[in-house]
Amino acid sequence: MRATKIKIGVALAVSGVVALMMTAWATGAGVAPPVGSGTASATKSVCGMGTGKKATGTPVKLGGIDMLIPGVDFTTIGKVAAAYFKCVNDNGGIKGHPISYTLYDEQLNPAQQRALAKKLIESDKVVGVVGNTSFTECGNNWKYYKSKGFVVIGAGVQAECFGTPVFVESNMGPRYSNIGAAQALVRAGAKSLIVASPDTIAAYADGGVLKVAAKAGIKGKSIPVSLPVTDANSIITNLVQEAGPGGGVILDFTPDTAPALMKAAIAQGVVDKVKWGSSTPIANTFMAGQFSEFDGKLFVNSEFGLLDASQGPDTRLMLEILQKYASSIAPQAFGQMGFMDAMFATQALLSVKGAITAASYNKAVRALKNVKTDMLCKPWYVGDALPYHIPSNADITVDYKNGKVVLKEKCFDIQAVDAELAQTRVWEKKYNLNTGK
Amino acid sequence: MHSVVGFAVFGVDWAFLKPYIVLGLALGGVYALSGVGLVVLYQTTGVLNIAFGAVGATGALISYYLIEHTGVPDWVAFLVCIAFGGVVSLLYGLVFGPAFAARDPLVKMMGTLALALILLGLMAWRAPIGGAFARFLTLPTSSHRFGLFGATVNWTQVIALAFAVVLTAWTTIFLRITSLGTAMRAMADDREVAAMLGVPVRRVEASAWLGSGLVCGAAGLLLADLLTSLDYSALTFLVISSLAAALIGRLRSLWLTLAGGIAIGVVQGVITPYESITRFRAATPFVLAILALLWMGRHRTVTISRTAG
Amino acid sequence: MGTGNGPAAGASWSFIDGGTLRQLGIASAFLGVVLLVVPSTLGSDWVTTLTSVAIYSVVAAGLGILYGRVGMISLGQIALLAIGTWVATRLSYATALPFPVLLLVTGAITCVVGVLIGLPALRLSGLYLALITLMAAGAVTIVFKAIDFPNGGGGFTGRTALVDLSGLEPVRRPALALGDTAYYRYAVIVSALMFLLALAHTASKPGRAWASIRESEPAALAAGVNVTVYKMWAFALASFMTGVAGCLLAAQIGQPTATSIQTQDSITLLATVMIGGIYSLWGAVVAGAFFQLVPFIFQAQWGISPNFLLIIFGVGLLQVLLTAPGGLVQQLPKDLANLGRLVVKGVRKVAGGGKRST
Repeated sequence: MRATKIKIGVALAVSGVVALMMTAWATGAGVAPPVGSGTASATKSVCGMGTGKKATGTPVKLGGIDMLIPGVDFTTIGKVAAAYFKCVNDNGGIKGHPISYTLYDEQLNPAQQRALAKKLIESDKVVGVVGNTSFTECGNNWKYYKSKGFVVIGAGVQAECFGTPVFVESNMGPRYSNIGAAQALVRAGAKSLIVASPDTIAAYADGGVLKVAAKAGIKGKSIPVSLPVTDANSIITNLVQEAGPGGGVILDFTPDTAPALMKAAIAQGVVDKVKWGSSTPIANTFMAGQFSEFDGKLFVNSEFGLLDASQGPDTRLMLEILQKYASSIAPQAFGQMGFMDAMFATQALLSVKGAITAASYNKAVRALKNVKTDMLCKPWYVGDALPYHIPSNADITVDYKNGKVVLKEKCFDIQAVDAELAQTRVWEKKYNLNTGK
Repeated sequence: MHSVVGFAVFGVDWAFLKPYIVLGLALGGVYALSGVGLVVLYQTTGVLNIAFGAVGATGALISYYLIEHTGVPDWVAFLVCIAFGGVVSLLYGLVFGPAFAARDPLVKMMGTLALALILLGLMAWRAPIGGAFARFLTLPTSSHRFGLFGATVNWTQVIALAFAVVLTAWTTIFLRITSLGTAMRAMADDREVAAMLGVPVRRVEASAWLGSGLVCGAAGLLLADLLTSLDYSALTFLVISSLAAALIGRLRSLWLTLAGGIAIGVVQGVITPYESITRFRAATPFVLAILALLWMGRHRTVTISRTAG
Repeated sequence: MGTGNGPAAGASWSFIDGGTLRQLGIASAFLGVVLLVVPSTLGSDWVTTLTSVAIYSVVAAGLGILYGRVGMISLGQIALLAIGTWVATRLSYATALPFPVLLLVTGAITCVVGVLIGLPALRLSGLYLALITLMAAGAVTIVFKAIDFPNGGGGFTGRTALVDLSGLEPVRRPALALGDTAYYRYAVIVSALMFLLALAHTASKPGRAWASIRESEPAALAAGVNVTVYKMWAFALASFMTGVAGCLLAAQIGQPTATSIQTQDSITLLATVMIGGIYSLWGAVVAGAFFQLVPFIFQAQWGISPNFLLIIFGVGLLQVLLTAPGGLVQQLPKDLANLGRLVVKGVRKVAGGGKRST
């Protein structure tokens, strides 16, 4: 008995040693590049009230739930939102009240997601939920948020994030990003559109591309891919074969999966055989640095503006905030999403007249419209009690060049192949949601 | 692309399938390597090591850290990965081997399951993946490629397959002919009897775990390169698909395991272009293993022995 | 299966006597607290988490019976749970069956599937059986990732291609348990019924047959026990219970998705079941608590990374395998008794020493 206990002690000690050996691992994200590398624009963005004074009153509570699973870490979005809120607190807070932001992470367990949402709203008594990003939380919790009168500003992947009343996202999600990539490929003369997405979202994410292909009169096909990818070479061979010479292949994967496919394309020597498109996640300098073989050959649909100081005041502010409050997070799309989520929430908070409660905050969120930012092509909005929200529906195409992400096509509208997108545009005109007036 | 001649055999267009067969062979190398590694471990220590993938993944992560964050030359980092596999396995074997020795294989396997959980927890805790980022561990042989029947193969894939074959051949000979190998087989079968017969139990056990561990580290290195992204979760759970190859070999025959792994890869590769079933092709290892097990168990009516067999 | 610390060797289960009555008494008191006191004292986030605990403890009980009573290990219980959830979801959309009937039908279908998977595997022993169930689980997971869960559409897979999902209906809940607290009580009661079902088996003929099979299969055969039938019965019972749990899970979640099925869960479930204790149904409750409640406490209450928990599970599993095969449920009373004895000894020493010094 004692001998065995010693053995267990040894096991724990060994585990401890191994843990120490791994202690210095960074997330590998690196440090933000120096700010001010482009020409300064006249206007300057500030966090919240921009007074430069620390807020010291009773805190205003906000909360968020982000997915954290091996291989995909969405908590970066929440962490950048938290950094923005820290900046707000150093600049007068919300009329003197600091924002207290609680970020929980979840592991795709539906009951856990519900319990965390309940904890935020009923135990922690937050007035608003901001920065939520997950593969499944929208679908699992939207009815609960609706019953509590909450409108969640976040970033989404799942169909329910763009098809239910209480989620409003700062991104457009894979379906519309893929449509954007498809449009770019069609404009470039692609003779077919073959789109590959993870199989758990393929039906939603690829449906739009098939409609674009049908409208353009070319072949369209969806190839769902089982994650994790072990046979990237076979998948790429199949995609290229289906596309045929001069065809178009759209990849819809995040930087933990896309490299295997892109390296396979390079290895199989098919980079020049078809036109390559992609959704947003690979539009970052890390990928551009790794895949110079794709320079000039990619049509990456980017839901957000370039991560350059010359893009505009909001982007500059984000780069500053990252350097000051979250230096371990490199500039990336997740950062832009977190920044925007926090910025929209702050704007809503500042617009509340009277006491800030869950009711008054969420009412202010619903009233948000014509919120301009240089990170998005058109102003953002919530539009009150619409059955679904697709506020971001225009974006750009980017490409790789010399280790950087460069602009390929300027802002264009995502093609309204879905009735829901067409209806959204009708609402935008009718209610003046993003016309800038 | 569709050759008339190709239609000759079974109405299947072989010209169309050739690149998939080649790529399937490369994939089969992955399964065969891990599968053979598992059976080698099982044959020499009597333990089915479910932590095979996790140990390799941890070693690969350490190598990555050394290459990216220290000035250590690449080949040293690769050696560290292999050595790490050996050391961790050796430690586990020395500390827990004797304790589990008298238990049945299922309990021994659960012990390694515990090790896998611990390693998985450590890796997830200390090496999370952020947003716009991925880790790559690339061997120098991966940039050297050649064409084969319409597909391109790199030398790492060839090495993986060759390593699996060499490992199979060498281990078969080693276990059968050398005295150390015979001692290992005896110990894996029954530790008590082997001890009574004068086998230096501790030393043989240590060599078995160390040797198997080095194989584990080497396989981890190769697989981390072949899977492109250093996804520790994928590497850890690849062991489940590799178990399929090991099961085809009935956890006994290294040659059958090798053949099984290659067969799984080829079948999975060939299925890829066929729309109706391609969505399920990742289930190929599991389906083939189940079929093999059912075939194997068709004559049994009663389970008598406490050991697997 | 290793050194005998099982039910035969001085455990807390006897068949029909004072011991069992006392256990039932404790169980009833526990149930009373869980049903009546807990919802009013703890917040609704705890209630949601404890509903999961109840559901997964049923799954753990099934696994515990298979391994602890019969000596068969199945690494495919999470896959069976997913099958139960899928069947319940599809039936909920396709039919208007009242919830209790839904529970029974889901349990029955899952039972059939489990038996079909188990039947050819029965001829294989220990390690091979575990591995074939792992293979089956792997195949089932791939199939679910390819066809996903129904959400109101038509056809076999029941997936709708609509983009506007604001009208999406969740899986039906029982008419008298629509709210979360009511559903929690409903789930706990159904789980208790499943535990009673398991108890009815273990305390009677099947339980005795299983015990004899676990000790020695040839001896059981020689004694006239129909080994194949009783093994199948164990599989059927475990699968039925898991299917019912799957239906409860479907109604708790509302809109299940294939993304939520994780390979890691099969391994963590086994670890928690072993840690809880496979020889006692209380161990299954502890297992459910470790699987669902402890991560919630760690993460939401204490702010500790859930990955740390994996390490604890691994170490706990090692400890159980090496020193405490009966798990926490068997070890904790022993440890407390030892502690009690130590305290008594200490007190006596002090008292005795005091007397001598006068």
